[in-house]
Amino acid sequence: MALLQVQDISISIDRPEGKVGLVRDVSFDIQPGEIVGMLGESGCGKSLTALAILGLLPEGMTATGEILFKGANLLTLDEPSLCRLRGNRIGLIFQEPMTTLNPMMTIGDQVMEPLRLHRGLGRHDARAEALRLLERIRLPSPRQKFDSYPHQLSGGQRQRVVIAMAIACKPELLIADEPTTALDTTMQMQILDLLLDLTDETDTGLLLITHDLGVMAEMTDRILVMYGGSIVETSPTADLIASPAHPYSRGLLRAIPQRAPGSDGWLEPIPGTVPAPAARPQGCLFRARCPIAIAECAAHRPELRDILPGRSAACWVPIIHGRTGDA
Amino acid sequence: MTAASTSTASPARKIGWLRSPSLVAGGIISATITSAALLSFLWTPYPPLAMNMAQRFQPPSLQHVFGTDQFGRDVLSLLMTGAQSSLAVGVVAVAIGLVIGSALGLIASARGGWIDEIIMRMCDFLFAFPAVLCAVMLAAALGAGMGNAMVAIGVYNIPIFARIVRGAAAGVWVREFVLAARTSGKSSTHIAIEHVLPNILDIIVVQATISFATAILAEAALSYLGLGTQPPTPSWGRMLHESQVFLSRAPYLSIFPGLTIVTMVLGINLLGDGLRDLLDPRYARER
Repeated sequence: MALLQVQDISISIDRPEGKVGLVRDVSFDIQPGEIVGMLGESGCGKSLTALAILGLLPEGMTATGEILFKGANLLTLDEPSLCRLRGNRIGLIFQEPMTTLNPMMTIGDQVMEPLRLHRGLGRHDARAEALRLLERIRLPSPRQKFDSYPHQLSGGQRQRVVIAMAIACKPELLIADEPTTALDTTMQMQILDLLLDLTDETDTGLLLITHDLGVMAEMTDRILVMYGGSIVETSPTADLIASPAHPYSRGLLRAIPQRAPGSDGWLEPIPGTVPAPAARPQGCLFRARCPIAIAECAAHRPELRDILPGRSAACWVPIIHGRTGDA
Repeated sequence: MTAASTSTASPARKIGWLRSPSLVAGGIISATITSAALLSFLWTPYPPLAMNMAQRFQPPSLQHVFGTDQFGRDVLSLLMTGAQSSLAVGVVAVAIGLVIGSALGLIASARGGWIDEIIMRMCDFLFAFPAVLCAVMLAAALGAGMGNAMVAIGVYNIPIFARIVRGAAAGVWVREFVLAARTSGKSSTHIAIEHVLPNILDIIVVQATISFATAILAEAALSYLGLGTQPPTPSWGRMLHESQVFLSRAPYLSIFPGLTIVTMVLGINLLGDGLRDLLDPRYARER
């Protein structure tokens, strides 16, 4: 059984002028030990999807559909049950290590919190376990740092602490929402390596949210490409990098700076902008920016469908093996 | 191991403590007046209530450092004894306002919706009555006295704390570490106490010192109206009130209680400023 099964999740926000759909019919699943990447530009619904999994959507937003975590639908669970899951069986790592730690609490106290809360450890045991965790995430001189406040740590060190908190109770599922975006490049690789090691050790499923394709290619088994609140392509990582099927995925790949010999060094931006959630047109949302749009794209919005074994795309004219094929 | 890590942290704290001039100054002023109040339980230069008609209106001298009043009572002794009631009113009134007000404000910010609405409208209702009016009503219902003055000023402080706490807490609830705390499975109550409250403590402390200062002034005002401390119990406010008749004849009778009130209020405010810096670990390093 899949560890996490997200089925037809739609998220909408209540506005005075009516409900506005933000995320539409997102479905995917994560197996134990699998690393799934979620790719897309800002505002495409990645973080909202992550928050919906934990039942932490901001006020005024509602999610419909099914989120099955080991068979239990998270959307119908009550708050106390969700509290028992969060930080215990599902961990979340945020983007901004500068703001996700409480400035008034010592590092040690914050790492001890989930241990005391979910595993009922006493102060003494929690301290020993927290120190073990800080060693495991390779925080330099953990014993000294234990009584430090967040402002006394560097960005990379803080993110390690955030990770320690997320993995403290050995969650079965870890969601990392842009865990390295705020860090410099060398620190990025260290943190990602750490995440890889940790998920390997415990067979934890990892949902990695990022807009960094380089990170995706290194880390993930499978990639979900999101655009305008929907998944437009899902493919094994190697396939997607080698031959993106959706024109948007291809656009993203072409917009990566290349240093490879033979490349002329020019980036190819994707023209235009993402339509705002309240002003999404009929038909394909990517149509206005798409170099290969056809008449059908304006009339009907393409649904996600299988185009090759293990790969699906939401496009009327997916690019298969580098060529535009017929649907 | 614990000892080692604490000892490395504490020198920085100690230096920060000494380098905060407002904390030191405020601490010295508050401590001096508080110890004078405590001392007055055991000893005062003269019995505070002993009248001596031969010694009326003595200007400040070596025998009577702050002079004597219209009954020949020693002003210094009266001020020391008066500190008891003034400080008691300050402490109790602030405690009432701080505990109840902060709790209400925290609940309002945590729950939102109709609970928030009800609490804040109740605060508006309380705000509509000035402290003096509140005290007049209480005095009418329960009789004038120091206890009722404390309660009245305390009740007046409740909406002040509730509003400030709610506003500051609202800013903390949307911070990312609160969301992070939610993702680690903490309930709203838990987050309110462990994450939100410590982050607004500085604001509460500062408000407490301001309220303490205004409570002393309010007690003075109420005593002035005859609704606070009742004669013959001395209080700073009543001394100020009674001395105004003799302002041209014996100005020192007004000056010393007035200066005492001003000094105490200043001391408490400085103490609050210093405490705020001390409570915030982010200041510890920079100082």
